[in-house]
Amino acid sequence: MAADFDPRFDPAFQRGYDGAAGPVRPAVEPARSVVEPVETARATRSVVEPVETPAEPLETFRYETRGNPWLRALWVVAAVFTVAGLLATYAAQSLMQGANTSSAIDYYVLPLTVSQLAPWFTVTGLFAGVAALVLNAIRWRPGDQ
Amino acid sequence: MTLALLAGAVVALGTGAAWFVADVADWFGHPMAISSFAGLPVFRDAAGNLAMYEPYLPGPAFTLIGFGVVLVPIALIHAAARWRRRVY
Repeated sequence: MAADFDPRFDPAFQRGYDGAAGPVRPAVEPARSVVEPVETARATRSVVEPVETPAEPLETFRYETRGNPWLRALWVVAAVFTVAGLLATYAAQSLMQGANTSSAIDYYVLPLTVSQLAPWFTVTGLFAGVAALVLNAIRWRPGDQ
Repeated sequence: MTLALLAGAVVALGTGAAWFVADVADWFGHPMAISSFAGLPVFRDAAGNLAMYEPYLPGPAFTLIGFGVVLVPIALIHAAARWRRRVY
């Protein structure tokens, strides 16, 4: 009787099925499209083909903040540079006001050197602090210690 | 990349410091003749003679040093952003 079953459908759901035929998969192949697409392979390949994109930018931001030694170093550099810059600013002011030395280097060079370097250290220290804060903030999740 | 940034910082700091020392040595090596109309303070040079100097002017060495200073936290930021805990 299996031959009477409509091969397009499972016999279990057809009249007269007694279980002897066993599960039979539909023998009908899915109907092909009437209109064959032209150059299908090339079109499919163009969609699926991976683009040469470097994965590094995404990988770069998969960092960890907990136990990150470079982040600790960044905090230290931020603190040291900021304090050094502020102290240098104060020292430059003191050297210029109390310039009563017997050495030309102390009189001319030292105050100018300190006053020239102070802004670099102050701004860089603040920049490093903001960067460290942002790096921590990006990875912060509620419940983090 | 981190090492390159750190190397750049070291090169900038070293070159800037060397440039600065050379500038100061050049400036210090050219004392002015003492003039009562110059209005500049008078100092004794290494030989014990009285000398006066034009005010020292900062050169590009400070910019180079500052560039090296800025590169240090940039290198650290790059290293921190790439660091991952090693799993053994």
